[in-house]
Order: sequence, then C-alpha cells, then structure tokens
Amino acid sequence: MNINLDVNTLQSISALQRPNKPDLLERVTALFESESPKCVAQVLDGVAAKDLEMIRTGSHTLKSISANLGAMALSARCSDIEHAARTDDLATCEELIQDLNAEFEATVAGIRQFLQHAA
Amino acid sequence: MGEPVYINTEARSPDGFQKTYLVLHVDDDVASLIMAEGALEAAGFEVVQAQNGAEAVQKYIDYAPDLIIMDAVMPVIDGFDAIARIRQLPTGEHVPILMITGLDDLESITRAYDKGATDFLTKPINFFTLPYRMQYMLRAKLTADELRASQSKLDSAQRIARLGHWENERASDCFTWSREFSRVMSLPVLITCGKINDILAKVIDSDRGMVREHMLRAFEEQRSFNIEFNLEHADSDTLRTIRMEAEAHFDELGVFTNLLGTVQDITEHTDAQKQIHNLAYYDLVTGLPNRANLYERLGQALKLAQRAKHEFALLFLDLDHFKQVNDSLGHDAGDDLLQQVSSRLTEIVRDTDAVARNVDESHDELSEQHSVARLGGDEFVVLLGSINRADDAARVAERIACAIGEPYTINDTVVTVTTTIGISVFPADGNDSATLMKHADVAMYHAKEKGRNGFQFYSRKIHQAALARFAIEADLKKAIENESLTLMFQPKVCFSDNKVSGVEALVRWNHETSGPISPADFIPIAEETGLILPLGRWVMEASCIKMQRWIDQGYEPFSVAVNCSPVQIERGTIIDDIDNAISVSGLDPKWLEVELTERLFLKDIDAGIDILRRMKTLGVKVSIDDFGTGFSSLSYLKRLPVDKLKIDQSFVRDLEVDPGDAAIVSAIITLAHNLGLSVIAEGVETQGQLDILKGYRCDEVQGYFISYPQRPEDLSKWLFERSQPGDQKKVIGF
Repeated sequence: MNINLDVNTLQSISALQRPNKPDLLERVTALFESESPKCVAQVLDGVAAKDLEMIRTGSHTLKSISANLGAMALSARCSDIEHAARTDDLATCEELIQDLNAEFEATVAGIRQFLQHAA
Repeated sequence: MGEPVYINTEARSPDGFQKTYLVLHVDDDVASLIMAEGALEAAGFEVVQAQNGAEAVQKYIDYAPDLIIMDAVMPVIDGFDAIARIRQLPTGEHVPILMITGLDDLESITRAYDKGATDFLTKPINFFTLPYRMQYMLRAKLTADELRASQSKLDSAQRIARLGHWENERASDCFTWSREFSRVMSLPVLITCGKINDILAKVIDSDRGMVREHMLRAFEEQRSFNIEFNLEHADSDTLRTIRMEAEAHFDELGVFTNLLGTVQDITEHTDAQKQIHNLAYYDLVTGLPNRANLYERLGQALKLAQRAKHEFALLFLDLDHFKQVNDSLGHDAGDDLLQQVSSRLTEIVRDTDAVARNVDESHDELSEQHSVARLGGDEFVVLLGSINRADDAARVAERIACAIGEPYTINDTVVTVTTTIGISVFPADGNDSATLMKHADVAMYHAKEKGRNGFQFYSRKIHQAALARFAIEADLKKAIENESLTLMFQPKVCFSDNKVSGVEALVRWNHETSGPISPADFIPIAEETGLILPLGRWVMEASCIKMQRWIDQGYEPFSVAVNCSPVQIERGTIIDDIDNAISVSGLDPKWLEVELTERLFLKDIDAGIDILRRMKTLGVKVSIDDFGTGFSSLSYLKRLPVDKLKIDQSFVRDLEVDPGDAAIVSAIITLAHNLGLSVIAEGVETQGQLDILKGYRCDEVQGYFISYPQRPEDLSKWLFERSQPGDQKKVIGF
C-alpha cells in the first residue's frame, strides 16, 4: 500500500527543533499516536451510528493532524469524508471508511520507520 | 535542510527598547500549536496558546498579545466568533489577527474578513514561512500604532494649543476642517466641512466681512494671510480673540492647489499682553497712568505742542501730611485716600476738557492730551496738554486744591488733607520732559515753603501774570454782577440825509483800583472764562433800554448796534439774549442792529446761516463787522442773510494815501450794493476820508471825525445840539 508519507514534511519538523527544548518530532508524533486513534474511532463509530456530526468532527481533526506529519493520502481521505459528512452523504462516508483503518495503521508504521531512520 | 535564519524580532523593536512580542496561537490541533511554537520562538516571538475560541478570548484579556493566529474551526467557540469578541474589547480593535482556514473553504475566508481578521493563511500551515508572515503583520501593526499615536499626539497638541486647521480645495468653494477648528470657532464638533458662511457663523458682525474678504482674496490671489478677529463662543461669556493664518499651496509645477490654514484661540495670550501692558503702564493702587506712562504722554504732548506752537502745563502735586494718615489709619486707609484723590483729580481734568475756551480753536485733538498720573507715594502729576495761557493752569490748580481739600470719609473716619502744587509751563520753563518735571517739582517745594495748600509757577513772571489775570477775572465777575460796567455810544451818520442813522454801543470798565481797563484786555478774558455770556446779555439789554429811552424822549428814532461775541453764538444764547432785550426794553426790533464778526462763519457756515435766519425772524438787522479782515472767499457773502457790511478801519485809515486800500474799499462798496447790502465805514478821522467814501457812494460813516464814543447823557446833549438848525457844520463837515 502506498502510504504516501511526505518525508520532507517530517524532516522540516526536525528543522524547527530549538536547542535545549524537548524533541519536537517526538512530541508531535507521540501526540499523533495518542490522538489519531481516537479520531479514527470517532469516524467509524459515527458511521455506525449514522451520526454525521461525529463523522465530521473526527475526520476534520484527523485531516489536520495527519497533514501536519506529511501523511497526505490519509489527510486527503479525511478531507473527502469530512466533505461527505458536511453534505449529509452518509453512503459516501460508508464507502470511504472501508480502508480507513488499514491506511491509518500503515501511516503510523511509516512514521515509526522514519523515526527509526532519523534516530 | 538547515535551520532557517529568521530576522530577530527582538532587535526590531521600533522604540529602541529591548522588547519581545507576544503571539496568541489558537488551534484545537495540538500538533500545530507545538510546531508553530517552535518556529515562532526561533524567530524571537513569545507564544501563548489556546485550544478553543473561549479560551482565546480569555487569554487575549489576560496576556494582551501583540498578534493572534486563529484557527477557524474549533470547538466551544469557533475562530470567527472569537475574532468578533476580541474586536469588541477595548484594546482589541487594532490587534492583527491571522486566520487559519481550509484551502478549499472560500466561504470561511470571506467570513473571516467580515469578522475582522487582518489576514488569512490556508492549511496545512507552512511553519517555516509562518514567522515571516507574523513579522510582516507585526511591522504593519507597529507602523499603524505609530501613526495612530502620532495622530493622537497631533490632535492632543492641537487641542492643547487650541489650534484648528482648515483647507480649501482649488476650484471649489467648499472648506474642510478639523474638529479642533470646530471647537475654536464654536461650530458643531461633528460637522467638519461646509461653505465659508458656515465657518464664520460665530464671528462678530463687525469682523465677519473682513475675515471673509481675506479668505476669498487669498483664494483668488493665491496668497497667504494672517489676521485676528473676535468671536462669540458658546462656552465663553466674553468675546474670544482668534488668530487665523493661511498659506497658499502649489504643486511641483507651481500651480496653485489649495489654501491650508489654521485658527488659534489667542484670547489668554492677548489678555496676558494687556495685563503686562497694564502692569507696566498703570499704577496698581489707583489705576492711573504711572511714571513710565506719564513720560510717554509727556513726550507726545511735547511733539504736539512744538508742531502746533501752543503751550502746555505740568502740575506736580503731593498731599500735605499724607504720611500722618498712613501712620494713624494704616496703609489700607492710605490706599483708599489715594484712590479717592485720584478720582477727584480725574474728574477735574475731564471737566477741564469739556470747557471750550476759544471758539477759533478745535480742542478735540488736544483735550485727549490732558491726563493724570501717579508717580508713587502721594505724588501726582496732571498734564494739561494744551493751554491758551498760563492762568488756565492756575485755574485748574486752584480747582484741584479746592477739590482735594474737601473732607474724605475713610473707614467711617473723616479725613482732611490739602495739596501743594508746582506748575511748569512749556516752552517757558523747559523744552524737554525731564526739565519740565524738575521745574514743576521745584515749584512745588517753593509753594510749600510759602505755606502749604496752594500753587506756584516755576517762573515768577508767569506766576505774577497769571495771578494778575486771575484777579481781573474775579473783578470782572464782580463788575458784571454789580452792573458797574458802563456803556458808551458812538454815533453813525448817513450820507444821504446827513442825519444820525444810529449808534454803536461799546462797553467800558472803570476798575476800582486800576482805573479804566481796555475792552481789548478784558473781553478776551471774558470770552475764555465764559463771563462773556452774562456780559453780552447785559450789554444787549442795557443798550436796548437806553435806545428806547431816547425814543421816548422824543428823539428821531435811529438804530442801536450791539456787538455780539462768537461765544454767544457757539453756546446758542444769542437768540434768547436778543429776545430778552427786546421784551424788557419794549424796543421795536427794527432799531436793533446786531454786529457779528465774519470770523464766526469760518468754522461752520451752515450753523452760522441758521443763527442769522433766526435773528432775521426776530426782526433785527444784522451787520458784518470788520469786513475784509477775515475770510477771503466772497462767495460766502451772497449766502449770508445780512443787511449791512462794516468796512474795517484798517482800510479806511490809509484811504487817502494807499491806492490799494482805496481800490479794496471801492470794490467792497460796489459788491455790497450789487448784493443789495448797505455799507458803513468805521474809523473815519479826516475830511479827506469822508470825501472819498462819499465819492464811492458809501452809505454811512462812523469815527472820531464825526464823534467819539460818548456817555449816554453826553450823547443826548450832542443829539440835541445837532438838531438845532444852523449849527451843523460845527459837528460835521458835509
């Protein structure tokens, strides 16, 4: 699976690192690992419960935080889901979440791999 | 990728102080917050964070950040509402806010600007360029702050200075102005444009035309001006003084573009100037001119007197025993006394102005030269800027001594003081201020040596002459009251029938101790002192009574000529004097002839003609005395409703030897006849003069050759003898 992880984005986060401060990339990726599963769960639960607001909120947040780490494919998928939720298109939402979990897992794995390389 | 190099914000502090700027970053995405924080801190910003709109508003209030980055979509309160709330806070109006929106969300961008966002950025945020964006916004904010501060300082400065500005565009009659302009000009503060009449609404009527004229002319002629005017201000009980300045402005091609001007309330400034002037030139206790002021007035009086060649007098006076009042009643009482003295002095000088002494001279210009000044202590100076004779000053001095000597009431205590006065006269006693002051002062000390409460001239000669005239004045007054003056009558004879046509009444004064005093000496004094009024009235009445007595005694009626003084005409008493004399004596007015000098008509011909008409209405005859010596313009003559001209004796005297005089006399007679007037020649002393006058067809003659002025009883005898047949050649050689 092409996880479409933009390495430049991850590298540029490192570049923002200031001396004598907690490791920025570590903090951001840790944040991503702790927050993003909640977002994925929120979207999936939302579809199951046919709660469009829940879907919209979850996909919006996941869209932003994945884009921050260069996970452009995941972000794009979230953007589509958010748009569908906003336009009350539950059917499209159901369709789009089919591979969501797999894509999310692959993204997390890709990030971990990058971190190992970086270290 | 290397670490980006940001321009250090800390070093860019515009006011020179080390300062870091605080960014409030609002985002519900914690990762964004973390990464932005890193980038912003690297660029020198301090960062404070919030995760929703409500928290953002609170953090704004708590931290007063310089810049805000605001995510649009957030829980609790979204970014749009947060912006709206911050903008409504007292300090939130101008803080720059960068709105973060989705790339695809055009609607959000529009909404963000509507709510007051300064700029926007789309997601995903490029954290490297974010600090540059913030620095740009910061610079714009600082510039705007500076501009606002400067504008506010300018406004404050203009308000403090009460300085408003205005502008007038080329090719337009519209003006725009600042709020301070409205305040200064007492216009509604919210209106800051209009026409010229709107601007000048509160300018006082007498100044408005002048201001409008300046503004319009400056516009037409493209030039600057600087004027002052008065304004009725709604916030002020008194008129405000406004200075308006304007400058014409031109573009780079030299074409006139507009007028730019200011107005400033300078009332306090001008008041202060007046106050400074008052402090420098007026005495604080009495409000009178002080020494410096006196010297200026004295300088002016000197110039005027030198130019007009008249005299003036300086009266130097102090209060006798003033120190005792001060010591016994205290300084406040002393000041009170000085104030009362000064008002008495001022009153006397004012009354002096009102006394017209000489009808031939206009005192309007000169009278303003009279002034009272206080030199300090109990010393005062009275400057009489114009006097005719030294005794005018003596008269004023006497009135001053008299008025100052009246009792004063001070703190319920009656106080009496006297004054001693020294007088110097220009030019006799000095040609400059210092000398005149010194001599007046010296004269005062002489007066004190002689005993206080009096006056003394610096010059002994002037002093004695003034006293002598003074004495004459007093005696003349007594003589008029006692009717101890006498009348003499000089006959006039008519050529046509050789009969006595009339007599001229002449007043004589035989002084108790000094003997006879010439009318040439006492008439001027009577005119200067106003004694001429009762004197003239008495002469008129006594002459008419005497004339009526001759008629009653059976003499063939003839007319009695009475001289009338210009003062009687000026004061308007003459008509009543004539009326009175006619009614008291019962004389037919056709036998009364009033002689007037032609000098009378030099000043105001119309007023003179009016008086003559009224005399004619009473039925009396009018003749012009001293004809030929006064005005040169004969054109007056035809306008004067008179009956007779009297040729002055100066022409008659040399009639036999001076062909010029003969020609003048001949011409006057011809002219008079052509105008329907009869002619009398006075001062006829020889047969030769008589013959020439007869040849010129003169109507009447008067003079020693016919008869000297005679006492009434002698004249009766003379008339009787003349009426005897065969005795005529003895009296008159016709």
